[in-house]
Amino acid sequence: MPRNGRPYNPVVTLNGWTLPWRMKDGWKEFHLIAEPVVREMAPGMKANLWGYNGQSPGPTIECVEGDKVRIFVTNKLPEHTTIHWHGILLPSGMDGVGGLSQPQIPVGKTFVYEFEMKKSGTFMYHPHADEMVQMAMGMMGFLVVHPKDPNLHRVDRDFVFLINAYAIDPGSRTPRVSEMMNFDLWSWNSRVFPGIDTLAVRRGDRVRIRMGNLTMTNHPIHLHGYDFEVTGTDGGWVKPTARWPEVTVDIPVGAMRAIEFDANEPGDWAFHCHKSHHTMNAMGHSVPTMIGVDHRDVARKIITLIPDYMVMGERGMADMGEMEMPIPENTLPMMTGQGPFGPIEMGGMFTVVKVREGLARNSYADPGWYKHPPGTVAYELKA
Amino acid sequence: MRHSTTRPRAAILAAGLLLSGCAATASINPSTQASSPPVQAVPPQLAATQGQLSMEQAVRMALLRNQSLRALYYRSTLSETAMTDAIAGTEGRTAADPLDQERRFIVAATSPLAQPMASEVDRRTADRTRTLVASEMLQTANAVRRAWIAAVAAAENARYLERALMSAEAGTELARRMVRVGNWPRLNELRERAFQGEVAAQLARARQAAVSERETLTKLLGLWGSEANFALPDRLPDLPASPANLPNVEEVALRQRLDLQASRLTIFAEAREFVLDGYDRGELVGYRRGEVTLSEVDYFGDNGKSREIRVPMFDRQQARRDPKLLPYVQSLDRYSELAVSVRSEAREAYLGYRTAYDVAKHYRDTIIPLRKEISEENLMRYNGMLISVFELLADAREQITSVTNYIEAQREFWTAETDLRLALTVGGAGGGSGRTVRLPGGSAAAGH
Ligand SMILES: [Cu+2]
Repeated sequence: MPRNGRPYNPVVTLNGWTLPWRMKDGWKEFHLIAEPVVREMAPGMKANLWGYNGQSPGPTIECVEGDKVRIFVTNKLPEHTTIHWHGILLPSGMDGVGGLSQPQIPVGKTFVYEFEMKKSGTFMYHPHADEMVQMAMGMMGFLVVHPKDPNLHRVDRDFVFLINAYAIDPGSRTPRVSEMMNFDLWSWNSRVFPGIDTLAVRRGDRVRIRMGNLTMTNHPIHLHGYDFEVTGTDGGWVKPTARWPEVTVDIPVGAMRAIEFDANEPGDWAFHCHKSHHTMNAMGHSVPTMIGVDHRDVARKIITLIPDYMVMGERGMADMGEMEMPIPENTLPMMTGQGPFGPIEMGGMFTVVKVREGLARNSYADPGWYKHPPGTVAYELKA
Repeated sequence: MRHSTTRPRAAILAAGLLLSGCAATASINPSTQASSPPVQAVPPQLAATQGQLSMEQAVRMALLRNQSLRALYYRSTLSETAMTDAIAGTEGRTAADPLDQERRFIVAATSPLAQPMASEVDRRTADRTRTLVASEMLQTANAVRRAWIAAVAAAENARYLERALMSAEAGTELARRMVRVGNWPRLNELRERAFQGEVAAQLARARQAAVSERETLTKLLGLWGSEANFALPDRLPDLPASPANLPNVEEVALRQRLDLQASRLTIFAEAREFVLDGYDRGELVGYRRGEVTLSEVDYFGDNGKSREIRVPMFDRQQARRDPKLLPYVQSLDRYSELAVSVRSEAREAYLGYRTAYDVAKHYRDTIIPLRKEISEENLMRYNGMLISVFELLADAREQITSVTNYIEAQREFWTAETDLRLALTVGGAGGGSGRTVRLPGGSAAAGH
């Protein structure tokens, strides 16, 4: 519960946090600072991004239906910006479209947005000035408006994240902002597997997961072990009579979905985008199929063409041989992650929903690998 | 630096040097020479089959055994004993400066030609012969160095292309497997085979070039039969840590060039003959007269000190009208003309040498390490399944180009180095032996 203002049940932002506010004369005041940031997308890989208040995506803004909010936006980017409040019903002049609804916020300046949160729901914020570049650089954030009545749509755990994608060449750090198709880091809150938080859930909890898509393509998000219902979009809550069961929810570009389920089945349940190349990290898109072809050592034979005596004191191939198949610096393996039974061989938009008995109500720490009851794990047929 | 020209050395005593490719006036039948087994003439320490033949060993061997030089020695009455004695006298003293060692050898080998006690006319003829023989020896040494460098570089290049061919074969083999299991269209395999074919053709040419460069060297060394199987190092010597710095290269050449010194000595002799005697006889009264001082280093002397020669100088237009002075004035004209070319050759050879050094160093310190790093980065991308064999093969092609360019740059450097040596002693780089040399008329050529 928040320390001041109207009461609500806060959300949990994967690999993120909620922006603090202050109450002033009946207004809930937030301060967003648009600035360059360095984001660790997973251990071993850092990206030069743009974001808010030191991270990409920016902090989650949480407020309550009926709140009057005043949001200060300071521009510390090297170019002008604005913020558009995606899905919020507000005065046209507060909509944040540079040139259309307001002048762009110049470098070094602070603009103020003021509006009332007329309805509860799931929203997001992002620039609407040099939008393609700024979103390709990671500028976006989650915005949740809670119902005035904390018991309305109440759940026990409410997770939120934004879906984003980056084109960062292996060995480099900054996204290629003009990329249209060949993104290679498919991320949730600018993190990729194995860097995405797990979703720790106490058995029996009512769970909501809210997702918004700010990439250039749709993402069919799939949860194992459960069926769920889509209970909301960025347009509002779905009436209970209009909900239908799913195990995969497709999230269109520029859209948001909230799904809910009762976490009755304990276990470690994969939760991922169902586009299989979105659960990979950096990969070559024109690499030929090597299935059925023995190509061990061929590469070295082909490429080791500088006689050793010509490069005195340079790194030789010997120390490279000690490392197991080294890859370029600041690059994540295409398939990675270690599970209790072996390599998980995933990347990108993949994490695990971990449903456990007796987790503390406010505990979101990773509870470790699931201990399967005897006789409930697939086994090898012995002759 | 290797050939320290800060220590002045070369000078000559002879005059009237005629180095030219003009028709034979004193040739002997080469077949008489060739029919004698060369082994007899070779001291054991120079047996070609011992280990790898270094550049300087090759030079020494050629000075002893090159057929044209031997003919010249014979005609100038130099005995092979004098040669082997000279070798024995200088061989053990492996100087840090191979050029100085070479000079000591040449001085020792031609010393029987010096006739300090003879009459002045005979002495001048003898000195002229000695200078001519020494010049030929230096020309041959240059030709041998060039041939040795070319032979080693060509063999290194051919060996490298064998490695490149292995790379291309690996690419073809991989393509063949890819096509067999249906992962690649046939077109890709055809491309790899075409590339392999190109490398194979390149290798065949490189092998032929290696054979041909080696033959040039073998010929200059005067070797045949089993002795022609001498071994050469696998690659050219490393570049020196820094190049020779010769800010006064023209001055060094003016003092040292044997041809220029010969010209000076002619002037000196003619000055006495036509000018000073003329004064003595009172014939030249009325000419305005001055003196010029020319400094030089005695190539055949052991002290290495420079010395100065003063010769009379006139108003040339005026002097030209006097038939008694004309030969002397013409000698002065020839000297001026020669000095201009000596300066020019020295500048050009030095610039060529410095440029070749910079280029070879650039390949060694920049391009080759870059290619290596690129190949390592590419291999990492291949490991990460970020690029395909296509990119590796494309990179392999660029590596081959850079490595062969590097070998070529090293060859150019060492060639420029020996050419610079020559430009500072006799000039005429790349000429080498194999020509017939006209000896000064008279006693020295009386052998036939
Ligand atoms: Cu996806």
